[in-house]
Amino acid sequence: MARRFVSKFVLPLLKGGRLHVGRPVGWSAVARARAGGAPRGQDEARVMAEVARLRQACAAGLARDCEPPSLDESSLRLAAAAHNVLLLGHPEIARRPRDQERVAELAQELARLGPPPDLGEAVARYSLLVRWPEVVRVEHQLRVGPSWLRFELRAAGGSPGVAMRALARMSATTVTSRRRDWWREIGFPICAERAIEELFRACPLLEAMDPLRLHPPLSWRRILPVLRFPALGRVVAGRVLELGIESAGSALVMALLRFGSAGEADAAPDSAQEIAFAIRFLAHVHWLHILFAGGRSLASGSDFATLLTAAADVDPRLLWPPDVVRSSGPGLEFTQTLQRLRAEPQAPERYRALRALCALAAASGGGGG
Amino acid sequence: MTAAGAIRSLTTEADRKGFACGSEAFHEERRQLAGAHTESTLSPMIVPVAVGQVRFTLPGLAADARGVVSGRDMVARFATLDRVVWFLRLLSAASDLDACWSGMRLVPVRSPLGLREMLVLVPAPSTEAADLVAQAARTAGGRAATGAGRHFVEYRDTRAPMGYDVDEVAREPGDFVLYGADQVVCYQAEGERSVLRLLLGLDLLRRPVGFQGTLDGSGAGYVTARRGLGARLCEYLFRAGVQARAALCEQTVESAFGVAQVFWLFHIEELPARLRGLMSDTPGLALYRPVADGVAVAAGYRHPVNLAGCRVLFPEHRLLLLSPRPAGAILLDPAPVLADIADLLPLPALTAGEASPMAARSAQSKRLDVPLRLVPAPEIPARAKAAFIPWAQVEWLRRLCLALPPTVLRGHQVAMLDDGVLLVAPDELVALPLGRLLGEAAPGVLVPAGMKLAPAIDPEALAKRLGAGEASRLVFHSATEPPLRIPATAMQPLDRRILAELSVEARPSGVRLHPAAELEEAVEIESDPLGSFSLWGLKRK
Repeated sequence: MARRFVSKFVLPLLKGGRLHVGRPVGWSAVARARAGGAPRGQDEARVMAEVARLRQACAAGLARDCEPPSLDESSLRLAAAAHNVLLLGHPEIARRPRDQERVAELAQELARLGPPPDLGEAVARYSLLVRWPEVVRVEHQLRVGPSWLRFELRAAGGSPGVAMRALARMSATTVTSRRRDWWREIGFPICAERAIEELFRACPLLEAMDPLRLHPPLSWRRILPVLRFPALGRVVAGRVLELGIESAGSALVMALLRFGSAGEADAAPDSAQEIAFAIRFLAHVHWLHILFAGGRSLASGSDFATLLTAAADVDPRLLWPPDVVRSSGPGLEFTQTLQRLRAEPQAPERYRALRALCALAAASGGGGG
Repeated sequence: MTAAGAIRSLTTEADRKGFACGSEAFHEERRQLAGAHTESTLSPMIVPVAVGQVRFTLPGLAADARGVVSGRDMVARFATLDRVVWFLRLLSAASDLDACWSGMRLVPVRSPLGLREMLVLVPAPSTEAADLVAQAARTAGGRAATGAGRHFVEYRDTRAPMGYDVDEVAREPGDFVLYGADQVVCYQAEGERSVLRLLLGLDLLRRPVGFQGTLDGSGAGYVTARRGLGARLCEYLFRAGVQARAALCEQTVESAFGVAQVFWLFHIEELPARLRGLMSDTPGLALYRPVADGVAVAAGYRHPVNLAGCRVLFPEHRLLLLSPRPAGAILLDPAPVLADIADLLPLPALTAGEASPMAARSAQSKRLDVPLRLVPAPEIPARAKAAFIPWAQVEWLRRLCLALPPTVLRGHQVAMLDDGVLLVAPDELVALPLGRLLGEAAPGVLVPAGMKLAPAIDPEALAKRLGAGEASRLVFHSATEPPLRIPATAMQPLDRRILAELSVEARPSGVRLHPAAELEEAVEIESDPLGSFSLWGLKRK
């Protein structure tokens, strides 16, 4: 089970292809895989080498001078948790809520690793799950007969069975196959929410690289630990620019509003310095936008633009790095952008809320530095 | 008994019992009866939307950032017209719903059972606005649905916080299909009513006597005066020092045989309290209080609907004066141009003199040519557009090019000259601070940074006079030497110019260039059979 798990699940998760989702992977399977020792046979050695090579290729694109990620206990637990979350959509278990809850609880326990302690661990964990949001499921639907006497067969995630293949040969049969994005179109049951949150907490870069995701909502509390590593902060900022500064930036601003006002469900924000750091990170994204957007100006009316205006009104130090001269080209362009955004109409309630957030950040002394 | 017959008898029974036809109990009973007797209603088909669901069966539904499902439009369904008015009153109390009001439609419909109901179609620009519309509709005793086109599903409630979707789209004919928790009903539209005409047809409500707004004499106001009273009122207000403007107006008459009523309209900026009684109690004068742009209501009355909340319904550049019956509403289209009352007072006898204009003569033309030259200009901020890099510093440029991002390389242009390289930036030269910096005195005219051209002619005119622009650039590199003209054909993009010739080496096939190339295969779930007792022995730690 343990060795098959690496070859049938971990390797396709990294490389692509058929991702086999079967019986739940528990603690015993993780322990057996951990204590498996040296690879048996040439095929197994080739699988392990391929896994290591793909993870190293991913890690090299994120940060320099990182240790090659190894398939250690935390990696195996993360992979097992990811497998069990995918298992919740399995056709055989999807109609059994009690079993779903048991598998979800197991996934939550496996993923409870806490935030990564250092840069290397953050990169190693992300290198394992980097393609997890790309997972798709192929669904076949077969219809026979007129509309008033319709016979339907469905197969989700896998090849159709013998009966379906036989019926599909009939001339009156309509066969529809479609590829559905597991993360965005299928989703996960509500009982898996805590498991997903634990996965995000253990691998914050996975969450930070997808700020436009709807559910569970983006959490600054979870992504702040990795943003404090400069290399990963640059990667996330680049991803925000790639997705679009108005849309992705506004999603981050809304998450920041939740973080600052409600404390994101379980706890209040630790300190206003965290909010100040988040605002400075968003300002950094805008500086990158000025330098590399090729003259495309920031559209007004977005929450991101409102945050910039509010921060400039409260304390410009939240937006201006100390080493940027205001009379320089980027500085002048930044000033012109702020003036233009101020002149545009804004949502008054949103502006007031973001202004209060910036005031909280500035009052803590987080405006400078 | 047929369904229609059953409902008719129920209606007669309700009337005999004295039920209000719009009461909820009556309609609930009628709905149950209709569901029991007719074939035209379908079985319940709506299902709650799951968290994270993004694909829906009903066309036109979409989830917002919170996952709440709504369509482009909202529909509020009411049994009677008074509930529609109640709904409009509640909706007008909310703010920031201009988009909803501007696209609102009032459609009388008939159900397959022959019941007449009213549908109010409201655009829903956001789920927050949709929540307000649904809350107002349910408070007013109606049902709220969301969707687009002709299909609308029940709006979200406590049982389904994310909203509802349907299992299957109904194909029955009808202008509107409403999917409810209890049935699916197809409605046929019977024309459309104007929301504005409905509002204007409502009776004004008299304010309580002790209400401050009635007795408050301050604030702006409109006063209408019979034609004979206009001049007297002008004089009175002018003598009293009241800032006011007035115009003689004629009411629009729709019939060719009608007689247009002519009256004076005064707009008083600040009505003093001492004049309040005069304006409101004098026969022939009527005082109006503005409630929205272009809308005023008779003093002492108020409209049942908050007109300020639905101001977008009222056309611009018109003035609407609302009075209690029998006067009704007075529409001034277009709004009259008001003149200061000081200009409307009767003039005393004046003697007008004549004055002839002074004649002017142009002087004889002389030559005014001034040579163009470079002068220091320390007051101008140094904003470099280009740089002249001598050949001795070109090596620095080559090294710097290795570290530059593609946007910089793509945007800059270079021209190879005898004594150096001219580097021109698309906007401002920031990334390559080399050589002698040149600013742009006019489009296509480059001068050394910190200097300007004298005389200070308009840049556009200067560029046109010198023939500079996109086709050729003019470089004033020294105060003593003549300028240099560089045609556009001599300029080349920097990224093309710096690219050295690449030597290509043949490689055998099968060599993997980049790991990303092998990651193009999709990650596709293959559901393995779980077998019996798949969770057997599954332990928690």
